Amino acid sequence: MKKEMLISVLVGLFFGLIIVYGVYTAQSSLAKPELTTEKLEVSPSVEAENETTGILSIHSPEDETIVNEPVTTITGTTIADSYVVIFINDKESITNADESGNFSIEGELELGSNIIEVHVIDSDGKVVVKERTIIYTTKPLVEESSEVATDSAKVDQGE
Amino acid sequence: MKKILFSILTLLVLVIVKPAMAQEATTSGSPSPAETTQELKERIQRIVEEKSDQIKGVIDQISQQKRGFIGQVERVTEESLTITNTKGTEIIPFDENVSLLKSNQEISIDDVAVGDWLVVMGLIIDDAFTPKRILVSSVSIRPKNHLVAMGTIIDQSSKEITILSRQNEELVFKTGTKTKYQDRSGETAFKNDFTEDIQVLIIGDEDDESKNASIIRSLVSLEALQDNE
Repeated sequence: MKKEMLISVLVGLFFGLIIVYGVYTAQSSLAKPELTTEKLEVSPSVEAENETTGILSIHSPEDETIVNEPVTTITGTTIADSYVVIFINDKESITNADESGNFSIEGELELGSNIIEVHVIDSDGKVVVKERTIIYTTKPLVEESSEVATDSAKVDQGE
Repeated sequence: MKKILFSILTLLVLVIVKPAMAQEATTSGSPSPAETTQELKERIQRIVEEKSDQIKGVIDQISQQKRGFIGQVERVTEESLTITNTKGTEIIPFDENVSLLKSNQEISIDDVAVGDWLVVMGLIIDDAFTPKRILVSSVSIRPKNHLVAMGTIIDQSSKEITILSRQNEELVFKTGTKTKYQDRSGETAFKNDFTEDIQVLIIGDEDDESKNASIIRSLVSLEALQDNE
């Protein structure tokens, strides 16, 4: 009799332990924060504004932009150590690309339209030209007033 | 036998109670997933409220990008202006919300003629360009046709300079009082320093009749040449 009792207690213990272990495992898994499977994907940015023509790439300014500052910085990349001539309308500036081909120059803008031409000439005398149009205005576009006539007057003079 | 049973029961109690207590302690220390989610939602809401003005500004900037360009009028109707420029042809919609200016004055679309030049300013809203202000000019707002050339001086007179370019082309530029002569570093130099066989960079413009030099820069040291002489 005692033997049977002992066996039944042991069997009960065995099942009890299994149930306790099962409950414990279930609680542990529920308590764990869900691991997100979502991946953060970073796609390479497309530098749409960087138009490249052969060996000349203008990084700034962007084409067809409207600015309200009278000075702009023209930067780009081209053949190393080449001559870079920049025209803002008819005003020219000369600079040189560095050994990496980078160039940067500040230029003053005129009220109204500004055609920026970048000419690069290599040691063989080959010229590459790239153009940008920048509009410089001091008046906000959405608030029309009689003051905007200043820009109009400038344009009408052919500047 | 009783001792054995007692030991087994004690062991069982220990085995059951210990994990349960440990689990309780763990759960009371960290918030449940639902609480975490709620807390995150509240935090995001707070940040959004705090930064709402900035976010609105950025969204406006993205959705209303400014655009400005020029072009020559090719066609005029009551509702639109067709212009051409170096990029091609573009039709600009026109209505009473667009400000049209010429010579300091507001003008009507009837005053715009084919051949006029326009500076068009507007906004890109939902990928569509909406003009806001158009400046009109009867004269061209395009700059001159600029030229940049590099070569060797083969001839020079009081009014002209001729170079053999590195593309093996003979180019004649008109020179005048406005022509600037520069040494290799860009400093002002004298016209007389520029003699035959000197390598130069010439910047200028051209029209139907001639090429005009505005800057003639030496590519060699003028001082060194003078010393050699």
